Amino acid sequence: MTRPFSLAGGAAIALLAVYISHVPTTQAQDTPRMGDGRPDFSGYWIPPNRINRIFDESGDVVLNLGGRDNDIGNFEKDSAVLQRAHTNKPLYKPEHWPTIQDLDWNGLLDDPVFICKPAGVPRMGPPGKIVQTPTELIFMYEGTQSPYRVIPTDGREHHPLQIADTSWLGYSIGHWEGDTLVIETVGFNDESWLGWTGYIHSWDMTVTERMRREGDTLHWEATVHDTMLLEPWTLNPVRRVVNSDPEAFFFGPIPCEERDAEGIVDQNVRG
Amino acid sequence: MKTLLRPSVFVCISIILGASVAAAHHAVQAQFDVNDVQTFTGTMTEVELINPHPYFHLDVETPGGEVVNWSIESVALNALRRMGLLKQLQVGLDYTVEYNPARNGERVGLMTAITLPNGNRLLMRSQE
Repeated sequence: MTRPFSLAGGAAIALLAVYISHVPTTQAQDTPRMGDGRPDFSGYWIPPNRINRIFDESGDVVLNLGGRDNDIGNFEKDSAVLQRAHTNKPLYKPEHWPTIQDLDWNGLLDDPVFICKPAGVPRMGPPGKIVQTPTELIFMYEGTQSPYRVIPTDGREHHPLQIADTSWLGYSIGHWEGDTLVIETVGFNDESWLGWTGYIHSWDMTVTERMRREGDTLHWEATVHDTMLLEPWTLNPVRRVVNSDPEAFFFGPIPCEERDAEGIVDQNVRG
Repeated sequence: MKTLLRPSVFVCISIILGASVAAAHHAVQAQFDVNDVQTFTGTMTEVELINPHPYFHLDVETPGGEVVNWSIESVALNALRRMGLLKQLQVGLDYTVEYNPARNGERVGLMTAITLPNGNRLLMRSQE
């Protein structure tokens, strides 16, 4: 197996330095603030490990998928194993265990994400871009549906029609606890899943997100409150960093048509 | 963006891989034999730039002279977009595709590498 980096000489290192100048940095930096003194979350936010690039002087391109031997099959297998190995799982009331287990084992095609439906909140995670004003934040997400969320921070309460609604993203209102933005979201449907292992929820679900900005790092976590659960479940925290590329942009939305289902020969196999 | 793939030019790739969604969607082992890699050269007949995964359809001539159509699924569309590759994947041009074959025996595969008309390869695995 040839390691592409072994092909790179001094010139490559120089070019790499140029590219690294576009790689997001996480170095210590003051937290930008709004005129009212609140932390300013505005900007493009990307995973810290997003930049996966392999250089090849022959002109070949290697997509670095992060799996063993950089193999797409291994990437999928390893992702499934690693996610199953997480000890942080929602604790459902006993009467729901048979349903959860059945969906985990047989529900591959029932997972909304598999069949082109939205991931929803909180499964969709932190936003890819935030626009902040003194009275609201706009969260934007890059992907199939290019969803967005409007989060007022002007002290209002949820509208009764929002509470009565059943939606994929819910309806959010934010408030500040010191430098932490706390987002309360209600009005969910009971179709989205919290994770691919059959983690369903009811439409009584509410989600509390907590976000902090430290320099160029965004810390996001979400807690699910639902009558199906024995106790609130806090997802593993997620970190994002500022995309320091001044030319950063979102690619446009993409039509989604699920084609794989008809080719599945064993629904019990994941990863 | 075509210069990205010109020989002697080092390439910078940036992709987003939401691991949870990727694994959640794919279940690749339920659909493809990831331990088997096969190769064909064919002519692109249709390009479907869709999520969750793009599909490329190619006419391939069998050893017996019959022309059959294959469907090849690739990594997420945004990964291809971030490399400026979309306009290099054209109907009517010839491509060599390496793929994991479908477990159900259909003429469907999961792309692990593709050789573009300019001779450069895009690999979704390590180089040999």
